[in-house]
Amino acid sequence: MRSLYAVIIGCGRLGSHLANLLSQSGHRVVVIDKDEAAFKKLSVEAFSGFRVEGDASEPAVLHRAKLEQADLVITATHADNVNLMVALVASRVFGVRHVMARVYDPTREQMYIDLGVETVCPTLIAGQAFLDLVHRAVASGASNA
Amino acid sequence: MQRVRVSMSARCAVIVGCGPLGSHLATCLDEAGCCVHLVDRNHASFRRLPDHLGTSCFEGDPIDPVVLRSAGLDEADMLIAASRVDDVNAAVALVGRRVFGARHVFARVDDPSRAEAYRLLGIQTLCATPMVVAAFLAKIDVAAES
Repeated sequence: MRSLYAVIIGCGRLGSHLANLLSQSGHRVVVIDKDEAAFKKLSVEAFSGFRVEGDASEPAVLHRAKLEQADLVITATHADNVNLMVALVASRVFGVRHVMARVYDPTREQMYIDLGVETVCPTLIAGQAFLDLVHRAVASGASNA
Repeated sequence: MQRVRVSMSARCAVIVGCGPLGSHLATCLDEAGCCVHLVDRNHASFRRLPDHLGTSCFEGDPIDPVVLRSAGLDEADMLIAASRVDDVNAAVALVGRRVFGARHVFARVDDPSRAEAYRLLGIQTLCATPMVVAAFLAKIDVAAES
């Protein structure tokens, strides 16, 4: 597997976790977050990439992160609309080949896909897992108390 | 693992939290024939629900047994605590179990370390975080190979 240049937008629980894993796997990682305190979530042992403090909705910040050289961009802020917007800029303006966005709202997911952005929807993932639990519990009849 | 799907008609579920997950679960269970009662602190959250849904909505503090009673938890088959706050979900699950003796109780917990702590308290938790990370890693692997 070749080493990717990956830019992760949003250093929350998901973004920092992916940054740690990717950096540890040998990929070159840049993390962008507008709150410097968020970078504390990056592991001292695992993360050997770069941090860019700034608002990813500003092109200047994306330039600082050298987005035009990125193989992969992951948008993982807390807001779906920011994730979509930055994903589209990465794809359409910076020409990044692989762009992935976290999308919480399942009703919006198709729109992202139609626009060429790959998506991961935690709501659908958790929803499926919950429905499996519920159906198995009802089928077995036993209480989980 | 084979997906189990049973009839949900004549079942009643109380779901706490009408955010993206709670509203999605409500929609799926309602469409499966389950009777769904939703509880949320803020009635504005109920606007997320599709118009055709036959769910009942209750505004109030979901940790308050009075609110859960008015939402029909006494008669419900299951309680799903699906708010965005792990600690609230754990508290709701405990109230559901210990005050109401609810039969099937599930709590959403996004923080993996909290999930483990709550499991030790006897709460059945669902932490989707590792699955979300795995989904991203699978896509990244494809990107790296291409």
